[in-house]
Order: sequence, then structure tokens, then C-alpha cells
Amino acid sequence: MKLLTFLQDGREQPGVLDRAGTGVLPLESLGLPFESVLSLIETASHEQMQLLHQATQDPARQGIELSMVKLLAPIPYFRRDMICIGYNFRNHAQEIARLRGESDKSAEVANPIYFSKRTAYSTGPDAPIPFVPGYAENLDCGVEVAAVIGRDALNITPEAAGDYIFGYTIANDVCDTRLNKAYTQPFLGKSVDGYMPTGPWIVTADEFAREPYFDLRLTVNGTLRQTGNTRDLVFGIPFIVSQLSRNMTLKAGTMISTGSPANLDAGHPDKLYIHPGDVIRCEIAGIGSLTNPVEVRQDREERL
Amino acid sequence: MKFLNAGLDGCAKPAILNPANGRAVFLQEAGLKYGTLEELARLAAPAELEELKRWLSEHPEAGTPLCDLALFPMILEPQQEILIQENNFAKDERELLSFWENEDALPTYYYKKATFASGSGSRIPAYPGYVTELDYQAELCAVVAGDVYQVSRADAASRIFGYTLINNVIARDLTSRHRRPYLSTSLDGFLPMCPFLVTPDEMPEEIIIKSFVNGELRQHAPASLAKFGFDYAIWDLSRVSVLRGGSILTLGTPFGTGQDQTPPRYLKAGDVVTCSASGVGQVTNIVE
Repeated sequence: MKLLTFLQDGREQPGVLDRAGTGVLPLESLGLPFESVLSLIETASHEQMQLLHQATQDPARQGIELSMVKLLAPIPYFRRDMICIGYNFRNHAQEIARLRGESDKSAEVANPIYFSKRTAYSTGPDAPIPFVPGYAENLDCGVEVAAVIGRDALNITPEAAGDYIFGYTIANDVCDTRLNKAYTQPFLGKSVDGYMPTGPWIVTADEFAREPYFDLRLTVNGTLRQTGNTRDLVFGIPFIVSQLSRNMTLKAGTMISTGSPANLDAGHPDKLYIHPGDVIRCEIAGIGSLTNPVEVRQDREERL
Repeated sequence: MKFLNAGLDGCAKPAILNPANGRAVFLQEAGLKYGTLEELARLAAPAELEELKRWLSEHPEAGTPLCDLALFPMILEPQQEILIQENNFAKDERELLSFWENEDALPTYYYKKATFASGSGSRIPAYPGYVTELDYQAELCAVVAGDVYQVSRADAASRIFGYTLINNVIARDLTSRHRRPYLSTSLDGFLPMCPFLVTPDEMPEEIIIKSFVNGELRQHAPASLAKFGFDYAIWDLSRVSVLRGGSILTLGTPFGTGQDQTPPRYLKAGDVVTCSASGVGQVTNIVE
């Protein structure tokens, strides 16, 4: 099932793709009055999920044409933040090390580097990625698969992780490298509005293998910039979910983004950046694609 | 106004201290519908707060004595963010002045994910076999009033609903292992929080932050030794995205944590830790 959030006539509501995959069935039209995808994940019963599944299999149910609605992020208001893992693709870690003039060896991480991507509001498909003149001009981006936790997880084993994952979506980890450097931690520079597009929908875990591997691609104006498969993650999804849940409750709805692969023509930092007018497209086989344009947004206040 | 989270029969409800008698009046009783103090900070209109004050002045006898109530952490399960300022305290005035000589200095923020807060008297889990360097950090907090976006520096302080206090418990060894203080500050039980939320007009001129381990004074500093104040953080963070009402910002922790001792003195099972801030209150927990 592909769960999504859409805007129609100024109203934001949860829905699911119909059998043909071309229309949106509003959840309320199915007798499932959840106010959001997040509340569905948190509270839906087994029977309600079955009802939902049946509706998406029923050829008689045709949804509202996708072109008639505006898709938002599947979960626009995260359950507090996006958990991220730094340098989790081997080739990306090596790329960063080379840019810094260090050896590939120094790129090896013994333990995952977890950090938070603070996201007040996650934008969805086609929403602009702001380029803020004089403030955020050194924009970098990365395609990542994000796992969505389906029920509260505490002290679970990697083998059991699959039972706790609700589904997967696409995340574009945009950041401003200057802000990241200036503020020491990769925090403010990753938390600008519009720097965490997700979508276009959450594909439920039952559509994949229990331990799925994803093909990732990122293009800028149609030119391939990143490509990879999550088989090459230093720390795989089951390990990450298990380790994070150790003595730390992961609430249903928590999102974990698993890392982006290296840029193909790395070697010069300018090649990493994206600029106003660029169109960024993230693709993950089995999920879909997420496209966002880079646009200038003026900053309201000059720095004091 | 001094708000608190208190209850009978283990059920926490937001309340306010009646200035006439020092008793706790549940907000519901006074006609305010908010289910948590986080919601109150996020949504309450100034007129509602004025109305609350008027209600209290007309009901000087109202309320339940604090000794008859259980006190809970100010917010039991934060729905909004907890943003920490790292390395934000100078050791003394001289260090503070020399810090400001560097014009490019910027704060360091990180996110504490901790799922739920624990109250005074509850245990801090030591997690033997997982954590080896358990540490305490007394931190004064500001709770943001309403959603804030691109507020000016001059108006930023007016967006503070009130102040509270946390012990930002941290597993230093996990910070080293994972290179960031994210996982290491977010384990279950790592967020002891004071029951009170005190509006700015009731705060003392000088706020002293302290912590004690087994009665021994470890941290002792005025809030004025912070390099970046709450107004700076609200201005700086709201510049890039919405800072939601009810979010908790901390001032960071003063010198004197277990890591700052020579040699370091980390917490162990049986230790009793108390953190306090003048005007706000305190939170005491036993390590287990």
C-alpha cells in the first residue's frame, strides 16, 4: 500500500493509492477517519489495516486522479525529528575524506554516527528547496531511503526489526555546508525549512522482502549524480533499528533516514552544490520518485 | 505565574499555584481547557492568561495543598523539541569576555530526543553493561510561547513563555562512540525534569544554577555566564524554520559535571543527584 497526504480544496488529508496506482482514495471515504497518516500508524487496528488493504485491491474503487490533487509529504509533521546516520555509505565516507585531503582509511567508522535532522515541517513532491542569498548558498543534497517505525520499539534484535517497520519512503537530505561548518554540528544547516523533502508516499513493508535492499538514484537536471544500493550501507537498516532501540524507546511514527551514496563526479566541492533553477530528482526502485526544484528565497533579516 | 504538573491518583494535570495561599489550582477548575503545560505554552492567548489571573484573585481560597498532591515532570511526554546548547557556559567572567572577542563565535546546538521525562524521586537508569560514563548536567530551560518564525533579535525574549529545569543526563562514552551527543542523551530515563514552569515576570534578577551529587556541590553558576542567551537561540533557530510553541530550549550546563572533575567522577548506582535553579525549583533522582 502507498499511503500519502494530499491537499485538495485547501484541506490536508490522508489517503492511499488505488489499485491502478493512478488515483487517491481519501481514508475518510473508506470509513477510516484518521486525521493523518501518523495517527493511522500510531493507532490503526489490525482490522482497519485489513480494510485499507482490501480497498486498495478493489478494482471498483477508483480514486481521485493524482493530477487533480497536490501531494504533500506523507508525514508533514514528523514525530519530532528525522534520525539520520552520517557517512553510512562507504563510498560517500571516502568521498568526504578525499575532499578533506585525508586517506580512505580515515573514512572508516566503527560505530554509526547518529544525529538529528530537526524538521518543523517536511515538504513534499515539487516543493521548492530554498537557496537563501547571503545565508544558505552552498547547498548539497542526497537521496536516502527512510524507514518508518510502525509500533513502539524497545530493545529489539536486528532479526526482529522487520516486525517494527511500517514502511519506507524517499528522503532528500539537503544541507547548507557553510552553516554546518560554522555551527560545528550538522544541525542548523540541515534544518532550514524545505531541506527535508520526503515522499511521495510511504510504501508499506509488506511490499518488500523482510530485509529489503533499495536501488537509489539522484539526478540533477536529468544528469545522474548519485547512485547506489543499500546493500552497500556500512550499517544496515535492521542493525540501526536494533541499536537505536537499545534502552531508547522508538515511538511509532519515528523516521530513520539511512544515508546517501557518494556523488559521481566528486573531487571538487563545487560539483556537490546545487543552484537556483536546478531540478533534483530522487528515485528509489519500489517506492517511486521525489522531485524538487531549487529556488531563491530572500532572507528577511540581515545577520547582526 | 507559577504553573506545575500535579495530580491525585497518579494522573497528571496542569495546575497553577494560587498566589493567595500557595495551593495548586487545576487549570480545568479555573476554566482553561489545555491538557498539558506544553499545550498551554503553545496555544494560550494573552487574554486567557489575564482571565486566569483574575479568576485566581477572585478565588483566594481555591486549591489543593501541595502536600496532598503528587508532582510530575512539567511535561511528561514532550511532543515538541528539546534543543540543547552545547559548551555554552564560560567558567568565569574573564573567560566570557575573551569568548566575545571572537566575533565569529556561534552557538552549538543539538537535539535531545528523549521520549519521556521523569519526575523528582524517580530513578536514573545506570544501564550497566551498556553505559560506563554516566553524567549529570543541570540545565535551565526556556519554554517557547506560540509558534515563532523569523522573530527579530529585539523581540526574541518576549517569545519565552516560562522557565523550567532539566537534568540533561548523558552517557559520555556513547557520545564518544557515536561522535554526537544524540543517542547518548536520549536513552529512556535520561530526562529528569522539574515540575514547575515559571513565567518570566516571576523570575529573580539573578538565576543561580546548581547541582549536587550525594549532597556535594558540583555545579554552581549564574545564568549570566552563558555565552548565548535564550533570546539569541530563539532568534537564530527561528530564522531558518518554525520553532514550535512548547519546545524546550536549554541554556547548556555550567562547569562542574562529572567529566569536568579531575579525575572524572561519573555517576554510579546509589548516587543521589539534585539539580536546581533559583526561581524555578529542583529535581532529585537516584541512580539505579
